[in-house]
Amino acid sequence: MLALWVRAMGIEIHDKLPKKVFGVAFTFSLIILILTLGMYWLTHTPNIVAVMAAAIVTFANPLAALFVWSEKLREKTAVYAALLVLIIIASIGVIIYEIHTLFSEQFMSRIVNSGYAVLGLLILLILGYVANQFVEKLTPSIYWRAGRFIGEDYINVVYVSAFAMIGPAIAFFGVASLDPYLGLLTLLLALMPIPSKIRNLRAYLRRKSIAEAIKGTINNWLLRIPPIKEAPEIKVYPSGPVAFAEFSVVTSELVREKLEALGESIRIPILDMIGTLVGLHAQLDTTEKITISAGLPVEDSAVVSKLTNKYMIVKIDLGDLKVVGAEEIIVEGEEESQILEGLVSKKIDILCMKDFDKKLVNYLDGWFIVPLKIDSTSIEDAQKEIVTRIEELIKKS
Amino acid sequence: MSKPLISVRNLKKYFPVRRFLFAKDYVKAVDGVTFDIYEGEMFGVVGESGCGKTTLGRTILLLIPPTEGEIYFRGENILEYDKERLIEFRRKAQIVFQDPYSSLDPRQTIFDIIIEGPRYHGMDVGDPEEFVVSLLRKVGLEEYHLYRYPHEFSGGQKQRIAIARALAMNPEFIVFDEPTSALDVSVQASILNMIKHLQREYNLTGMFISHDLAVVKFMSQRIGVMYVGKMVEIGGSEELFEEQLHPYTKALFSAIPIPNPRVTRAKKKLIVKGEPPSPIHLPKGCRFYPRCPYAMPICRTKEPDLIEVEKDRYVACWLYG
Repeated sequence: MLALWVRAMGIEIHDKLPKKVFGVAFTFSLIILILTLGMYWLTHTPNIVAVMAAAIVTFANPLAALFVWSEKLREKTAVYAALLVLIIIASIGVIIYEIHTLFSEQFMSRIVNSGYAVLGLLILLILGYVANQFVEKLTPSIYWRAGRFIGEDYINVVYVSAFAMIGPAIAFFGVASLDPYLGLLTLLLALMPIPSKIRNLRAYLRRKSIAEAIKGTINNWLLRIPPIKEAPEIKVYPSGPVAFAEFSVVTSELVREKLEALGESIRIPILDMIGTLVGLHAQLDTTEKITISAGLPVEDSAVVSKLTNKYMIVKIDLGDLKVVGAEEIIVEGEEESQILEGLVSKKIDILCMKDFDKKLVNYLDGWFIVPLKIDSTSIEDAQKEIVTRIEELIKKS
Repeated sequence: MSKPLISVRNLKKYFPVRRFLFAKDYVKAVDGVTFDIYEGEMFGVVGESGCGKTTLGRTILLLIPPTEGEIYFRGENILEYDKERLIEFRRKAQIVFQDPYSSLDPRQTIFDIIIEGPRYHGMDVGDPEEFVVSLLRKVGLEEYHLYRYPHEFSGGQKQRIAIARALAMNPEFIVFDEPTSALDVSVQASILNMIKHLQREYNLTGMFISHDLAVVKFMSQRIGVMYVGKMVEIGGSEELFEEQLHPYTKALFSAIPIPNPRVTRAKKKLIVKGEPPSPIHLPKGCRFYPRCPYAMPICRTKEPDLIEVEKDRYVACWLYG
């Protein structure tokens, strides 16, 4: 779900998983659980109990995502941890209780209505599969990893239901005594998703380091974009396996007209890189109170109109439109691509040359660097000309 | 330039890969390819192994059904052909496979192999023996080869038989799917010369698939460069060798070894890092960006379209967008 608000001086990006993904996940989990309860009441087979244990676990991953997705729940991840522990205990508890009952009854068969049991398990199998597919289909492609995470436990419902069918099916054909033995195996199979839930719990306990890692990735990407000068304050809300990110970025007035494109260049790569994000909220603002850098290719103390290894970086206060400093830098590399990469890494806002070919303009545009045509050949004249041209640029925009 | 004989529009071929029960992922072997092949021209297709060249060739001939897109033959969409017209198209469009060892039926004589197609299509070939012998001579074989079996021939000779079999149908379009890659270097040149000679003689339109750039340059008038299921650059053979626009094409051409060490040292090489992405989970945006030395933020967000940047020169790269 993407929303873009264009504000007076900037834009806001709200992008998160659609609400319906959670709606569908919880609805299916609930239906599957209620169905298993009803079927157990009707058939008394331990095989259904195994599916019930698997159904309980299906609540865990949607909960993990919901607790960071929802603004209200974001600060209450401790509640999520408590619920997760409860889910694990409930699932293991159901399994242990049933195994205990089986042993105490010395594997006496209790199954009734075995035909209904087979039919019900078939319905559960289909429901599990449909739930898994529904969740994935409703998830936008950029969140595919989060979508798979939310829907992964329904696959266990499918496996357990398929295995659980064997006992009641044999009972249906007259051999009911095998049902409890096969039930025991199904119950053990239902333990399969528990380790991954324990991993979720461990991830919750390590959520601070997970948040730091996500912050680092976001920061690295943002700081690669030349107009973003300072590391923004990034808030990451992790529940362990998934997280939500929030940050604001301030750039120079020079990119005001490209803010939407800049927003896309922030949103898509971050969501693509960090597959565990279920959403992000970013605020992009422009300011005049910023010092920008203009790069001048120089050779033998004169400005040249080609990509070189030596550049004069002129620092300009955008508010006062005054040169506040200059330094000479060397950009390593022989290849054009290496030089351009070097200029990007030096975070220049403007590249000044007499002439630009289309490819270079597109490359600079792509990195939100302004290609500025200047005529001066001496560095002093060029500095003055840059200030004048920037003033014209700002007036135009 | 003459009229397009084959026009491919947004052609896609996805192969399902089972993930879980009926849940599938898809290998995007050909993913939205658009180009034209003009009458009388040989269109080369290059790209690294697994980029979808062979799938593209086979999909154009409908040997495998496309997932999406349109294929026009003389301006008519062949996907809308009825059975009769499709059979006629199958006569007009032929393929020479990569592996001559497995593309000939070992239980048939050369005569039967070559005459089978014309017989099926009810073509009037006059005296069948004379017809087959004339074809064999055209591909550099002799009359005494007529009733021999495929195992009695070398790889090069088998490929000549495969070419004769394709020519027997009097085709208007032939896909040469790496016809020399399974052959010795000594045999490759003679086969290539023969194909070139036959192309001129029959005014054949063809698609020449190879990963050998020198071979494609020798054989083709225009070349399309493929990368992970997409056509990233199309241009005249000479122009493309003179100057490559797409960074992938540059990297591909940089990899051609030059025997002269001085030239090698002087030549600027563009070396790409890493491996091609998985055709199942392609990266967002341009599929080359993880390896591209010119990668920009937009490359991660939007996929570039193949656009005409000069006359008959197409490139799919944001540097030229």
